Amino acid sequence: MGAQKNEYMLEMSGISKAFPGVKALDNVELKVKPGTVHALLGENGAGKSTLMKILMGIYEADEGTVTFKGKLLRGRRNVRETMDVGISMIHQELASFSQMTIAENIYLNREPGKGLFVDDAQMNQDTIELFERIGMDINPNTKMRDITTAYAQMVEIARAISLNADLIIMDEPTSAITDKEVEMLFNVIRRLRDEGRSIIYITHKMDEIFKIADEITVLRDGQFVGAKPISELDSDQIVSMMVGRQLVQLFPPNEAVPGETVMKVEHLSRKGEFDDISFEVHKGEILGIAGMMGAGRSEIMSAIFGITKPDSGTVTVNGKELSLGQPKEAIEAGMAMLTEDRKGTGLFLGLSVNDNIGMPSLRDFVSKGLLSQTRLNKACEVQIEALRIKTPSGKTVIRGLSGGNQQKALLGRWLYCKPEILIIDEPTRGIDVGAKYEIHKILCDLAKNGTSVIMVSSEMPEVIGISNRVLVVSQGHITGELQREELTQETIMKYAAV
Amino acid sequence: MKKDKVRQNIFKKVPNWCGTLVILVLIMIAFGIANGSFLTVKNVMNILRQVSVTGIIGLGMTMVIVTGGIDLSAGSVLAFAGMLVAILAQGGHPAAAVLVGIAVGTGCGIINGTVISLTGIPPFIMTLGMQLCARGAANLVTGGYPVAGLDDSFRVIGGGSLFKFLPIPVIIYAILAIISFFVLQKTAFGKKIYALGCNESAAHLCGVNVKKVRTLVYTYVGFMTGAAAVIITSRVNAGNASVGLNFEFDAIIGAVIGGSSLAGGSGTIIGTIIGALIVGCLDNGLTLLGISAYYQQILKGMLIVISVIVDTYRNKASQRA
Repeated sequence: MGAQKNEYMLEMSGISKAFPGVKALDNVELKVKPGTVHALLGENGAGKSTLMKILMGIYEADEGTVTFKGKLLRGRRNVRETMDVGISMIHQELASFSQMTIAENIYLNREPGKGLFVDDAQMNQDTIELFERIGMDINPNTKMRDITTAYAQMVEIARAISLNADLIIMDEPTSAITDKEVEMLFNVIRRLRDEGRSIIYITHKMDEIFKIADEITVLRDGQFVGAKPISELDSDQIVSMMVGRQLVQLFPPNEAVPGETVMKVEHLSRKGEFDDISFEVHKGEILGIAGMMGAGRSEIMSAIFGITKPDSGTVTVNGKELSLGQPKEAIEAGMAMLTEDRKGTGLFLGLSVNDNIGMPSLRDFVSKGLLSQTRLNKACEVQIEALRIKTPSGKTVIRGLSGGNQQKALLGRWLYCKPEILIIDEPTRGIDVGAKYEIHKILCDLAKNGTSVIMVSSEMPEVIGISNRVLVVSQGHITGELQREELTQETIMKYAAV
Repeated sequence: MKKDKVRQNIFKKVPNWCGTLVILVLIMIAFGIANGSFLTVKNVMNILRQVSVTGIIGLGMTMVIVTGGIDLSAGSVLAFAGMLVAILAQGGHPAAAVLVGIAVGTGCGIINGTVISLTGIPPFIMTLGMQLCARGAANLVTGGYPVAGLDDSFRVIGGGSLFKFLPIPVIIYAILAIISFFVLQKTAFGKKIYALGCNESAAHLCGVNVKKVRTLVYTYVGFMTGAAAVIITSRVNAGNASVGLNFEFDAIIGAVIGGSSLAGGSGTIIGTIIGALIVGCLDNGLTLLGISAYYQQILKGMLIVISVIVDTYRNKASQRA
């Protein structure tokens, strides 16, 4: 027993937690050695967040123990206590005070000072030193709203270090930052690890696991599947641990045969976002739009769909020029768009699955001025069936569904409209492996049946896996066009980094 | 977390407003026991007659609240419209009085809705501005003097009864409630109101004309306010620039007790009607028990805070799922 105490920094064992009607965790263990990066893996709903909430003290476990640095932690404790013993969590959605400076954010509620007054100079100096420790140079007086997501994460990490955290939990830290920034983050993580701190790293991205993790723990449906050093595993083994079956192929075959031109974008420009964008879209193809985060891809799509108004340029669908700046007109011209921000601009979280699907098509269910909810429900249930959306019923409020099923519902919304052109931005962000395959399959089937799919994606394997053709965007310009045969990570990167 | 959702369905089948209905019944039983005259037909009709004015405003208010907005101007707009109604009714033009009253209310609603939609300022600010403007305008009409002694045929609207026991304002309330129920719950427009309150950007991307929907809900509450102005002017048989003080709050309290969330996206007409009846029963019951109006005001203040607290907890609970 004595020897084991030193081996692990954190030992969670026999953890079980039930919510009314649901067993969220069943006898789960998680053991983290000091000075390691430990990846916690599992599909959405596998129980990762519940386990982390128990670790942070937000939930109390029904059974099991949490031992940290040899000391048993109480089941009932608050987040403050957890942070005091040396555990900090960096959340996926960062909560910061955008009007305040970096230094103020880090030292909020514990500002160094004399009596009633805050010693700003001291606080700024401390902040600079803190960032030097993670190898970064930063102006402590910068306002939070002026820095990117990646730097906001660094601020969170710096705060964790200033709290003397020995164990830092990172929940999908790379979901919204650029490739370059990922490198920066990884360097910081390696530094922390070398100082003897441990990191619990939650992610969906396979390549990252091999780059940064030392060990992994996999959960599935609230059960502990296994824990192993990364050196003993390859990516197929990890995927099969996560989904419980061997995934034969990561991507479905794309059997689409592109036809004539359906949409022409000519000389589209919007100041500060993109410049002189021209391209064509063919019937029945998947056109991938690749590039780094912030290159202007989503902005181009927003302008085409009419969410924003471009300064100049034209969009022509089937020979008819659109007057830009109105989504309604784009929809009438046969376009549909799924944005990258599902929660922010896609879902009506408080409404039923059916209402979410039917919203743009309400007119189809109106007779004599009244809306027939029965007909709407019937039509939407056909979509639920066809797309295999997992929900107790179409009348269930969509908030309770998993990310993958919410995304499928949004797909169902637009597929009902039978669009000729479907724009989909980051189709599988934050969605687990099994559902990813299904969504790719849906996109391939659409293209095969003659729909033009424009897919913006930061996930290189996805772009290469199912696109017929790829446009690479860099700094607001199209820098390259690649045919299916030419698609490799290297060629895309070559143009993306222009 | 996926499989066991079935269990919740038992509760889902019961509409949200049922809980509120139970509270209403309990309140009525309690007052009925405390005072024998509470549950008589005459008194119940009295309650309904009292509730009808703010209740009618509440019908429109529900739609505004479902979009995530609020209308603080209703009470003042009612006073302004009421003054013009009174002048026309006093001059012997009852039909014109009705039309002008509704038109003025609707017009103020159009102004509220248009400015909010076009400029994007918070509804709170716009309707607060309108509250002051309309109250000022109401006083300007006669320089602050009340207008009394209205045309007899006009007085039927607020004071008359059908079959000697069913007050006409209650009949108007019922008709407008049925219309509002259909508009909010059974039309595409109603669905769009919920969509707007849940997620404005998503609604925009679904091709919903967000500005039009928003302008129309304020227009709708304006129309209801105009109708309420006609009824109250007729009932008190006078135009008075200080009438309708805090009426918007009665309408808001009714909607919130009835399950409308001030965050937008939820609320029903049936719930709002039950909420308005609860407020009406409390007003009437407490008066019958001889409790001072000042205490009633304090109680109403507490009631709105408590119902919003309940709403907040309900939201948190549903988000945890």
